Amino acid sequence: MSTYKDLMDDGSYICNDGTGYRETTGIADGLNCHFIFNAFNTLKYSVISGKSGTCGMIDDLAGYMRYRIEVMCGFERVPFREEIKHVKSYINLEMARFSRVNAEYNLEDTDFTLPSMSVIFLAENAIHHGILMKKGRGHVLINSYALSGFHCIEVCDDGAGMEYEGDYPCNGSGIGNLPALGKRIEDMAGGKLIIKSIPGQGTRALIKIPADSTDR
Amino acid sequence: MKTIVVDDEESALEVFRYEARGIDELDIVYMSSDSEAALEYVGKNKADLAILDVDMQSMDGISLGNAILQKVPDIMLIYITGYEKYAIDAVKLHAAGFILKPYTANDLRYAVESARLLSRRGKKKVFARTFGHFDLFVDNKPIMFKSAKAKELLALLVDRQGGTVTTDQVIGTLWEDRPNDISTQNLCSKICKTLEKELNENGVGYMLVASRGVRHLDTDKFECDLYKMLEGNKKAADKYIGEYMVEYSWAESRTALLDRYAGELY
Repeated sequence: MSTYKDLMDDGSYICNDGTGYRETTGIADGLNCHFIFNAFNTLKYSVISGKSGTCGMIDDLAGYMRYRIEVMCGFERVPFREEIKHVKSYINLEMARFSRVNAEYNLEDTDFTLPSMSVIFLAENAIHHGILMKKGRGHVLINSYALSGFHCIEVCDDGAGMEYEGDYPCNGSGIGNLPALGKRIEDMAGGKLIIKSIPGQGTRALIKIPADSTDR
Repeated sequence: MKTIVVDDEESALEVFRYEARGIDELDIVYMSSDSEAALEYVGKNKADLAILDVDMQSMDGISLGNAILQKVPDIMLIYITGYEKYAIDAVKLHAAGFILKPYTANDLRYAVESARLLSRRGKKKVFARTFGHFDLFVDNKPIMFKSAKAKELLALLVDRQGGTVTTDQVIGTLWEDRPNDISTQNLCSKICKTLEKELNENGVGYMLVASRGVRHLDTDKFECDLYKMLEGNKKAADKYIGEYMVEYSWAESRTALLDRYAGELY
């Protein structure tokens, strides 16, 4: 079974070298340290400028970090409601950091489970490889709905986009963390990941999970 | 130090401004969230230090640092990042300093101070003494000026503390007995050239900035007992015993002012 570990750069976020468990750089990737420390800086900004909402940001960051730590400890298939809660925390913090990021949610279908982190990874891609790669404001739109026996989750952005179309799991290489994510969605839920991206228009990522899938 | 700061997060720039409040060495001349605009700025304006966020989207900090170094080879770089995975790349580029977000004012002060020390390495120590007799020391040795007038012109420029001096002002001060005519103006421009040459011969030509009949000194490039005293430095004030550039009559009027200032420091 493919696990969360495959989503790491080197797949070895904890290794045993005979002297006990030793952390490697993977643990930093697993927690997305870059995001977390930047979020701390944004919290400072919020305090310095006397903005309201700092408490909410602390709650968002704490909740998000707890979730990622739990996921690293093997928390693999989660209720969609749980995942989306942390997606919102993550996006809230990015919106506080970059004022040009906006988000919208349209969640019709919420009563199912899916591999942990799958929506968060797509949201990270939408913001960092989509919206922030172009000038000006951008939007992330997250939809969930039921369609002909599938739970569908869409993560769309109107960011930079690229010339790309692909279905995962796939044979061959694919882009970035998508092959590992696609494999995980198939292994753990019998689902699929479908990407369509157009330069200058943005990217749409669709996760399809069979309604009859059970935890494998 | 003229400092530019680039971070694609506006909020991070605000945090920087906040932590930099008490750091006097930092003279922030430009702040931007746009890498390309910043690159254009350093091409046209003077900057000693660039503080850059590593993790920027359109043009990342490391590429921006490289591009800035191409335009201004002697600029100092300090990188800021949220996570240190990037540290190795930055060191390869000979960044003078590295700061992790979130940082304290002390972290920032330490990085700036290290950058400053590093940039002084290999450079000459230049000191203008004004208390008593005037002299310019390069690496603790006084320059033996071949032209006394060129030395006096330098003294006048030091006295102006980086302010500009026009040809008319030079003539009015250094040749007060001569009419301000073509021949005096020619003499003046000759002396200006001589000063430029003498400073260059001693490897400190960079302290003089001259263009179209106006000249001034870059006070960041040398130290001076007068400036230190005016900044409130008591150690410098100790050296003042009522004598200031004693060989120049035009400097006399300063002493009354300096006497009073030194008195107030105690």
